[in-house]
Amino acid sequence: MPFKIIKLTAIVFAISLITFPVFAAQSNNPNPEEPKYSPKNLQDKDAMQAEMDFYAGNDHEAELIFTGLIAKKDHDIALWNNQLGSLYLTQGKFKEAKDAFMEAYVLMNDIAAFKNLELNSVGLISSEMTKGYKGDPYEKVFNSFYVGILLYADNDLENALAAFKNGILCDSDVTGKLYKSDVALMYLMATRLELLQKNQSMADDFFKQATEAFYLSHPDNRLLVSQKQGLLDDLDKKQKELLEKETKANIKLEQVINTLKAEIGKLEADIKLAGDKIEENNRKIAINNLKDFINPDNNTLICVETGRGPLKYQIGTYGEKTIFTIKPYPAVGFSVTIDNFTQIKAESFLKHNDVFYQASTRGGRVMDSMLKGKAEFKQTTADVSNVLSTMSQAYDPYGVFSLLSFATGAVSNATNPYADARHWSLLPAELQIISLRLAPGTHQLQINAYDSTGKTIESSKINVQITNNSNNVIFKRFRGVES
Amino acid sequence: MKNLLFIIFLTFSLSGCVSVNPYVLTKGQTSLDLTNNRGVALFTLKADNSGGGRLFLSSFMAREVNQYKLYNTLGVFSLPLGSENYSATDNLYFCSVVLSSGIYRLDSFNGMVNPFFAMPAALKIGKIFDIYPNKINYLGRLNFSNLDTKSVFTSLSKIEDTSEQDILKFKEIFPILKDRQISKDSFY
Repeated sequence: MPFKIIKLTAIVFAISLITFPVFAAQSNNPNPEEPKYSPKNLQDKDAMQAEMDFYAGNDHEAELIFTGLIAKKDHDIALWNNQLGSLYLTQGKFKEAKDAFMEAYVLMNDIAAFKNLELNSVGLISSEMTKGYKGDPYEKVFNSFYVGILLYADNDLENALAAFKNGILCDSDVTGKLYKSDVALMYLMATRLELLQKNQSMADDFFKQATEAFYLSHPDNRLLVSQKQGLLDDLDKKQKELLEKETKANIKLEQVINTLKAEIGKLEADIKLAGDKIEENNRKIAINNLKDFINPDNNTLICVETGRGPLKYQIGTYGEKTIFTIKPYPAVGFSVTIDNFTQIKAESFLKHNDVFYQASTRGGRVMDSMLKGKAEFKQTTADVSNVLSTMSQAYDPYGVFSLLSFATGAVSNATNPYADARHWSLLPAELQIISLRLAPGTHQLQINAYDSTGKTIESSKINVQITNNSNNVIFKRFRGVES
Repeated sequence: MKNLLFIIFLTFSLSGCVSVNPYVLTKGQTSLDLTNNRGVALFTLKADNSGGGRLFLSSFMAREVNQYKLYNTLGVFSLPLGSENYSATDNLYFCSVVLSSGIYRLDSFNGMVNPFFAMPAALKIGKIFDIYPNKINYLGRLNFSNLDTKSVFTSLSKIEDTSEQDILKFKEIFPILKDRQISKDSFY
């Protein structure tokens, strides 16, 4: 008995030795917020608080939450890194932003990443949200842009160019042919980098593509491009139908084939008409800003980011579809005053780098049709379950229908057709950028955002250090919070 | 036994009468705790009753929009509209939402057209709004077009910023807002 007491005392003593330093450390912790936002206590849903904190200007809380979520190293780690990268960029912490974007970049572009987690999404009964986040094409494009421009600011031109090229490649991963590679900014950055590395022919090639992308995504052309894309899709369908009918041609089908041929002819004429109108618009669109932007003599890039990026949310009976919407930001333009003297007007900026447009024109991914299948599967199994349940009540002396009803009902409930609504919500709504030449040294920049009445709604004063190379980058984010 | 049953009945009845919905502001509210990440959204609704039909609204629905949660776990809130929320002089409903910071979708308003005929009516909205931590925001005025009494249908015609008059009235109806700062935001 005394031996047992001694043994028990020794165990209690050993445990207290281990736990005491932990409690002591907690009691001495100068920041009481840390345990609250420790990875152990954080859940994915807490990210909404961080998001709202960011848009309310509570950057410290947002940072604690996103940092804690990253430390969990879960399947959303690329998303947390993108969100944190945007936060750091807003705070002017370029190095931290680059590290966060880089980590997300690797995960978003690596096929093998999260392989095990992704296996869960293949089946019919698991949710889309259980797979690793890799982002939509537009998110990959903007991640590549940030990685590229931050590497460019670090004079790592080769890797920066690789990141921009990766962004261009990601932009081609869309359904609508006309929306492929229409982010002019990526081509312009690639042009600029090729010029800095004295690759004139490559630069010419990128600039040509930049001009085409700029025309295609210009607001004056967006409706026409959308119409043309719709007509092209219809033409594709009709041509396939025609081919199918022609292979089993017989007299009965002759009239159908002739009708299809007539419809195809009309579609081709309409496509040409839409193309001609786009060409006509292109002749009126000024591209001087594009030429100024790539000028290698301009040693500074000023990027002004405004508003809040697209919101993706679920709709439909089972939340099986996602749609995008955007919160309007009242600023229509801004002015930059350098050293209280030189004023740069909004017109000089390269505009129309519209994140919402890029997000909403990416077309339906293959996964969307699979989700539609899941919703139909859920509906069918639910219907079968209801029928079996009714049958079991009417004539089922041995309870077979009841058991089957229970089984199909369970499968229906286990089916998760919910669409994946995860998205990079700390992205801005629009990015406007200008390249200019500033003398080396310290400068003070006053940036004002104004609304349609000309009233200043947000303003910011920043001191910048310009070095004697071509790669000075300045970021300013206006997100509706007075700084 | 009868007395016991009567007391139980009375308790249930009265508890129903005095229950307070924590997600809306009330006239007699004496404190408003916005710590722990709560915030308030305020907006007004005007229905055009010039066509003869009268609309009596009793509640509205707000649905949580949260990309980080599974769809089937998102909160759905039914928020009551009482007599204190209605101003007969200008035919306006003064609505408040007190929720955790986040993104929400204003789904619909529910009520009746001409209570004697008890025709249920639902005004579909489908607009998104934000609730910011420790902030009170005015979102605007929802204007509904003339009510078609046959089909019991009306649609959202416009959202306008009438903050100057609405905020004053909000402060009058809900004294708890009197000394609070109310910022402006918008539906989207």
